[in-house]
Amino acid sequence: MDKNGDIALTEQNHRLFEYKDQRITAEQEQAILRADRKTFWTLRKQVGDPIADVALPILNNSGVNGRVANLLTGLSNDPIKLNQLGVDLMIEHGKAVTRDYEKCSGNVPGLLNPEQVAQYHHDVFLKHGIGSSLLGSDGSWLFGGTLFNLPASLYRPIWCRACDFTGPKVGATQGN
Amino acid sequence: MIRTILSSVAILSVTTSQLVAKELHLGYETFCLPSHYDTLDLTKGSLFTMIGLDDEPHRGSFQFFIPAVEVKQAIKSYNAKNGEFEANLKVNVMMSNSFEQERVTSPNYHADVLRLSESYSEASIEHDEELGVYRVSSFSSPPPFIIWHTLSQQPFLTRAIPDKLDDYYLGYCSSSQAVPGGSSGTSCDYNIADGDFLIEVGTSEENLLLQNELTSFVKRRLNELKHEC
Repeated sequence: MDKNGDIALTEQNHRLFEYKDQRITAEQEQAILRADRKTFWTLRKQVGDPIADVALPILNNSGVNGRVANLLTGLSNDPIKLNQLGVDLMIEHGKAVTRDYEKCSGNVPGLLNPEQVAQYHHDVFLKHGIGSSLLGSDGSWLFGGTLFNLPASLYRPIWCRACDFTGPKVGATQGN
Repeated sequence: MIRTILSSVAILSVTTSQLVAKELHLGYETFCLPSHYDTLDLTKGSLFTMIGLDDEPHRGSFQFFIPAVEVKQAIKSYNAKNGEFEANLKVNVMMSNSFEQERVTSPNYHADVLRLSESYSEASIEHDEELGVYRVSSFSSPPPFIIWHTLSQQPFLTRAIPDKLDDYYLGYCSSSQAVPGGSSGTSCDYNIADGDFLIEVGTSEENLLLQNELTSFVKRRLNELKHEC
């Protein structure tokens, strides 16, 4: 609420109408089980998941962002490993979305904030050894809005304007 | 041009990451992490309150991984392998408040999973006799699951809620088995409260059975890291 008692319209609030139900649907789940990244991210885009706008160019290796992202993994010449990485990121995205929805985190249940995205990228990248050839580190500085280890939220205006905020748990009640 | 810039950044990053332990400030505490811990520093978010950035500036977090061999040295029964991967221990430290801590560590926090209610009213269940655990997934597909909760007690509708969360709840898990012939392994996590922080601990499903030992280890290690600056 603003000082006048009206609903405060942040940019994100203003966009709320564009978000649909963020739960992982049966169709999306089947796409995960088939390791079908294209269908999964296309379906996520349809419900307004902003990470889909980042994932699809990477999947299609299109545009500057998509191509650079794939290049920086060091796996551009190994499509099988690159796909494994993408599948694991898809799974972890589904997991993070489900947890966020069930626990009503942030402003929009099921919508991730930049920190959440950075965290699961960090996890998956370390597991796959991404970045080690480039930096001698896990390479998490490259992705998830954590470029050069700056705050994930700092990059929100650049790569994830429609991401959630790290606000209070909208559905939180004592003992729940 | 891009490669030149990247190379410069890479050289700088390698140099700094190998020589300097990472000093992180979160809340009133300072932690100094060894440089060989892979770390994601999200603590600086508290400095920014500009429009378009996160709307809760007092929050912040950092995440790091303790190498599996180091955990194994402290906990002998820890399995350092997770499928074809190393079972490095994930520690995510978040600023928190007492309300959030009580909520997340309350025995009721995963009551819906244990009692198969709400999102879990039509859940699928798998009993792993070897590990002695129950897997519960809200997704419609039969086992093996891709995302699930792991419980130490059998879930059913009229189940009494135990006094403590860790009396029945082990962790929230995912698998990478969706890739045909690809990498296998599990990625599970659970929460603990410690001072002003909420800590998410992540490891393989098998190692969740060592939850008490892992919790003690993580708390002890974090306390040590406060004194290594």
